[in-house]
Amino acid sequence: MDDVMPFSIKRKRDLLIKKKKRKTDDVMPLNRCSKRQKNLFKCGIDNLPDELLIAILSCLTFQEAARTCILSQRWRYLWKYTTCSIQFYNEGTLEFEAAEKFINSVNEGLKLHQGESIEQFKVGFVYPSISYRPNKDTEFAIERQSKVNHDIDGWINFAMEKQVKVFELNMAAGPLDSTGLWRNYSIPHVQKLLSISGEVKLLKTLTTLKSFRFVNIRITQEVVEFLLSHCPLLEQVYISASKSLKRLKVAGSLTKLRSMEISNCDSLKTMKVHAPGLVSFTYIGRDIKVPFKKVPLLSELTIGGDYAGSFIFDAHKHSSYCRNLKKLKLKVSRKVVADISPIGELPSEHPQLYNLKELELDITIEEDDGLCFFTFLTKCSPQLSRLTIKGFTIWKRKNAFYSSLSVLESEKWKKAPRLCFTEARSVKRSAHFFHVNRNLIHK
Amino acid sequence: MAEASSSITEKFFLTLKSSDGDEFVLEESIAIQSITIKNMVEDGCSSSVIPLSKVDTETLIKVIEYMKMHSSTSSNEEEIENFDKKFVSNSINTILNILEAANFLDINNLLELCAEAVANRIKNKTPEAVRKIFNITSDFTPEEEAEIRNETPWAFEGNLDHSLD
Repeated sequence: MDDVMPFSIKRKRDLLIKKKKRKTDDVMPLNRCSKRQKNLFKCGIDNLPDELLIAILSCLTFQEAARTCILSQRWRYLWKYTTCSIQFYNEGTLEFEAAEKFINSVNEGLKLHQGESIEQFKVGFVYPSISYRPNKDTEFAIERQSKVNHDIDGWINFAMEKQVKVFELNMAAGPLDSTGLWRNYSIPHVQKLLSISGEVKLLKTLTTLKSFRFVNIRITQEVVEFLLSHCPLLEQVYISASKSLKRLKVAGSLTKLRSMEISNCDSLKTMKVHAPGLVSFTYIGRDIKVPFKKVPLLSELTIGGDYAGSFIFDAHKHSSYCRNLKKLKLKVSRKVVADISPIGELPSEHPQLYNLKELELDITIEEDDGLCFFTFLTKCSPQLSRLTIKGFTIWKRKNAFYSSLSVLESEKWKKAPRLCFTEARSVKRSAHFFHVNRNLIHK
Repeated sequence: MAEASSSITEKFFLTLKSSDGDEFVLEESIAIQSITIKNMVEDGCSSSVIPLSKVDTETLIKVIEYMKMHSSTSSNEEEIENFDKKFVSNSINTILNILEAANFLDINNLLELCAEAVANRIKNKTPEAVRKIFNITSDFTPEEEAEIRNETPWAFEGNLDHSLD
């Protein structure tokens, strides 16, 4: 029989057998069947049952899965049953027509989904405020706005029906960074929220929700606290640019909560955070009273706005949580820098950053010696192993630049931290950064 | 004390038989990563040979390699990660066979790994490239195809990759 076999196949088979024989201690059949049945050629994706094709499609985004409808008749409708992440992002434009078109395609897309559940639901876009519209027709605009609100209510309902685990609604996904120009959407109050999705269904979905993120969405204290108290598995909470959040109390059995961000919520006056498992927290905003009440594991902190100013100038207020910090990012605004520049004096007290390993300064400095000011932070961080300086703009004089760095260099660290510059605007000078960086490391 | 007792514990072995008739002996603790096999063991089928009529020898070898690497007793995380990376670089048809076997044997991690690997070869590709990679023949007329594209125009936006890698 071997004689009639084409040489290539025979050789291949021999090789296969040889290969298997070599790996005796590995995976080896116990007694090889002498009468080897030739395998039917069963390769190929079209031999898989529908459920497996759907499992494959569920690893893709909704858009990618939908693209398979064109492959063949078999694939025509399979994508509708995925349990994948549904993501719609429209990041490129601030135009009214584009936003309208985008909203329609989300609506159409969601209508087509037939699967019982989805892992993630994420939508990001910008709905321009009235001044961005072509004809500034107020009545038309109001009508459109209420239609859009209704559509977004529908998206929330969709996500709750499909028992989503990760929910994100971002209405500032555009190219600009000024939320004021954009319309936003208000998450309905709790009673309406319950009626939109049906109380039983909503509460059931919340028991499995792991993460929610709202950007440039109005969400009230009542709704956030409702979500916090009904989502026992919650791991991440992210709220940014919500104008209607005035107070917030994070408490209850939030044992899974690891990471939280509250940023640019301009109306926020007070916040209290009790979360035993919380590791990472970001707060950017006004100078509120220190919010941390019971956060024994908090070790990664990002702060910005006036609160960062308070952290720098009123260290005693922040001593309760400073000691545990391992990573600290300070986003220092122009206003804080302006406070520093005329005075130039160092704060009388220094924060106690005994365990700090990584410090990142995200500063916009135009004064040449602005960086010198921040060197006091490196003095009170004996364990510092990495210092990142991000986003500074102009160094007017070369000498001043060197004097700033020489201050950094002269600090007596037990082990010199690694100095990194990211997003430095001046390319020419990057050679100097690397030079100085190397010197620091070799000290 | 715990150590002493575990070394005394007798190891049980199972014999798995592929569709080609080849038999493989495997520790029970490794084999029961497959829920299908676990159920059979619990139903008292472990004394005889377990026939896996839907899994050929070549595929079964791969599946056993996977189960050995992922068994609770051996391997550190990095090793497993590297193994998985290499594992998914098998030819697409091999992956599809393993996927089917993982489904039959009910090994969830392996199923997910393979589904992800297949999905990665669909991701960002043009429909034409996907057809070539998976040997799918279109049974649409050009008119039908245009019509279907029109139904979900948002699905076909963006830059897509023509290559067959």
